[in-house]
Amino acid sequence: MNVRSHVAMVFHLDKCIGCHTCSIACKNVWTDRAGAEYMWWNNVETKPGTGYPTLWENQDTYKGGWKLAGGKGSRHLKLRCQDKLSALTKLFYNPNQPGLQDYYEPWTYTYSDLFDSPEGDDQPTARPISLITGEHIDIEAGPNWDDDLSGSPIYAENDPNLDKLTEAEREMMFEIERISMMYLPRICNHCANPSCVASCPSGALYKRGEDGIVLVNQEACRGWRACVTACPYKKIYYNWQTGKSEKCILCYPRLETGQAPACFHSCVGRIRYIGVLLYDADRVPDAMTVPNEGLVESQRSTILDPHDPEVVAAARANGISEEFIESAQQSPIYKYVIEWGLALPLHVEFRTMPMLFYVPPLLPVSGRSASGIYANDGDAFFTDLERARMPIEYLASLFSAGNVPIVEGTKSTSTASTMDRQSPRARLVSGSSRSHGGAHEHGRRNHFNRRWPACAEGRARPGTRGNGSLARLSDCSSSDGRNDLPATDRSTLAGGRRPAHAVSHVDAQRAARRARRTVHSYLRHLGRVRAVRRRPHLRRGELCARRTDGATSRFVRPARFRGRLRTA
Amino acid sequence: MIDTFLLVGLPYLALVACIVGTIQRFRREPYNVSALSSQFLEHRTLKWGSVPWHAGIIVILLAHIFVFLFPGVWRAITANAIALVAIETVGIALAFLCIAGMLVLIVRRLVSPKVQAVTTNVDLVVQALLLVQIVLGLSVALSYRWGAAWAPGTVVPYLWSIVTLQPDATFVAEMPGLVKAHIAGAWVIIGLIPYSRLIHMFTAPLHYVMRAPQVVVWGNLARLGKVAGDKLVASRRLFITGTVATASGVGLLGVGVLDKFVRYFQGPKLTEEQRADLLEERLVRVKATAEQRELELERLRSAYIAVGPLAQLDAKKGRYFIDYEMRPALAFKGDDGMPILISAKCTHLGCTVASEVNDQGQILCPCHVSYFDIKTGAPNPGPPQRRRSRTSTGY
Repeated sequence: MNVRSHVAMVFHLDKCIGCHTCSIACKNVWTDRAGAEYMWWNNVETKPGTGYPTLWENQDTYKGGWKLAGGKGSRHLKLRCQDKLSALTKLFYNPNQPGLQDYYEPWTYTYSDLFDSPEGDDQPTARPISLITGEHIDIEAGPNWDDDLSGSPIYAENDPNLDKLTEAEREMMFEIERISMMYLPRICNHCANPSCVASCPSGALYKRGEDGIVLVNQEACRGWRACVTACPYKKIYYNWQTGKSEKCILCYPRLETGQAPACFHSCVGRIRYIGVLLYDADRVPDAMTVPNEGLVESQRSTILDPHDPEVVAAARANGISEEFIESAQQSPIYKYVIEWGLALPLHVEFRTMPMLFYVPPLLPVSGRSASGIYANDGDAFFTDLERARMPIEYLASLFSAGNVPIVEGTKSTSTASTMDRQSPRARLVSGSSRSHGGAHEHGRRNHFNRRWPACAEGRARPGTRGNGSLARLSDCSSSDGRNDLPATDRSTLAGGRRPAHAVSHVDAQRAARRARRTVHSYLRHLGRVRAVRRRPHLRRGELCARRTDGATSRFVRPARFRGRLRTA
Repeated sequence: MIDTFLLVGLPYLALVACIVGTIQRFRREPYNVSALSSQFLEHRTLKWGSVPWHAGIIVILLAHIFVFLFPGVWRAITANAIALVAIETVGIALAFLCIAGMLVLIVRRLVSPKVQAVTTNVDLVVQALLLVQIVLGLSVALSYRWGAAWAPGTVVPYLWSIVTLQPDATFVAEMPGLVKAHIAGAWVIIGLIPYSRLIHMFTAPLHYVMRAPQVVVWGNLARLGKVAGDKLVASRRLFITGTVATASGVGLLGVGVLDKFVRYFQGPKLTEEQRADLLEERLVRVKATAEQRELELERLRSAYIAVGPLAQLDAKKGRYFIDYEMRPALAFKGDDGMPILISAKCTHLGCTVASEVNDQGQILCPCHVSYFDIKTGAPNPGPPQRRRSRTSTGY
């Protein structure tokens, strides 16, 4: 048993309102740079729809993820996009790599025309110009081009997940009265069996052992772009200016300094849960070789019970810190994924074992218009699975590799627990409809409490980076007395609360220095900071930075930087 | 002067720039070492440029490096006329492939506005240089035939002389301008590698073929301490045992070696008889040398070498003798009854050629199966490229 810990997330899709705040938060923090304008490490898609990049789910063209190879008994996984030798020939031209045309050409507007145009008969306009070439362009696509366009013949109807539906079901889905849609926020899944890591010719991609975050080592990346093709979720992006690949880093600099990831932190609907899972890394590759229908169960079987003393002992033996183990034991993710079986991985049939999970939306029919009058559905409220708007096969295609009973299971549990929350009217619903819920009474109560926590506290339970010197999520420290996490001490990057097995103070200081260096060297690479240098007249740890990219010119610069910045 | 610069100064300039620049760039600017692919921005024409260019240039470059590293093996291969023709044909075809690919790449870079957004002046310079270099190489191959056969004897020793820090441009100084331009062009490109996108050559990810699919990195000091701690105790024990064992092994070996040293400088203890034998042996050697010297002196003093009676010469079977330069030579009777004297040393690798004349009036060098006309000394197409010198004086 090779126990590893993993920082995992759950997205509760019933609560997502599609506001894109997460995307914007991420954009502003990480990808507001030259070469990265088109990147959306976090994006929110409307389903059914074609997504971003267009039709990313169609692996016949993009060749992402793993495929099963070998006969019975010798089943194993192979990358769909390349084998070891063809990887070398694809360095020069990769036939399956998505290009700019599959995402969109980033643009801005000639805002200055609004001010500088000579007086005339017409109102001046700000025309769109490409952020790559600087030339005028016609905007033909964007990061959210099919937002809220369910039922549209160009976008929604081309959703690859509709292939599994019968003609009648599809027609029904697009019937004007029944048109429905859901939102799907997507970040990197930080898979446990990542195909991007396996595809990288330079070995620049790696998975961190203690929290499972998948990262690109920017110093080792040589821009061969195999990962862009290999990632079935298309969550690795090629920076056309630096010639390197970039991806969601699960805001590890924030995690390590006790802050929640930016997308998580900014989520308006509070749909995101974060926590630690323990899993058996030795069983991962085999778990991903079962037939499609069994993949969800197979993935669940690799996730270990954090209360099992054997598991805890094995985790300790593997060097996982007490804080991570403790976090895993209180993890909301474990409850969602294993105890309640509510959260499912996205497109598990790509066989990368994604470690982000989604609670499929109920999208219940709460009312309809009959002869011109809109009315609630009365007794049938929140009860009838078959009448839910999104066909169950469609959700199964997204979340369980086509296994319908699994999705039905999550929906009945959701329905049951939702009823608990309903007004007294809902509580009057007959006992028969209650029996839809598979979860027993206690579990359901617990579930309800956990699903709508009052603050971020219940939602977040990541561990620390394990050396004990890095603080916990600041969001989690509340003062209501129920807080079972130690107070966050941000000033104690070095030192602070040290676990029993903590290494020496010197080591802790070194770790803190390294953490700071990581953040700043990364920022430096991103073009945000040209030189990171400590100056004697500055306070210890304070950094003097010069921005070099042109990005500042578009935004108000922080006052303390003004005058010292050189803008391109 | 200009030759010395191009063939000796430039190479060292280029090599220093390449080595120092590469180390600098990998150490100080690892963030910008990248192939800088522009496939993301433009992929349609790239396919028709990048693929043929790389397919051609990689094979051609590897062949060049192979000749440089193993000139002997290469000579043996090209000694076979069919192999030689095949190699040259493939090389020329690949050169055309490269030129086509590079032209597409250059046009693409000049025409596509998106690609222009990531194009620097150095990119254009490099592209132009590469194109010129390929065209030069192709013209050398076409105008001075069988370069694959003559290069190991000319360019390779020159390159080795540069690499071994004993520069000797005489190997190539007399070569045609085209060849020298091709050589100088190569040095310029080598010098530019670390300062352009050519750096990606040094990042060829060959290790990918061998590596395990997943890469997991632990940054956890506690874990490192814990997991590595147990290992550390074990490894300390291992270290001590290992050190002791190695030290005693090296000590024993040293004693043995020292013993040999001492004995060597002491010299062997010989009996009277052994000393007499040794002296006799030396005397024989001295006598042989004296004979050789006498022969040499005679050659230098006399105007003629007695080869043998004219009547004993044969038209079909040569008679060996030693010429003025103390090299083997052959004497034949010509059609006109006059003797033909010809050096018996092959111009290829200096083998002594056979004495029988075949029906075409040629003698055979058995080393690499090349034939020489005994009248003109001209070689057939085969490894030797120079005519056999005719011994000019003496009948």
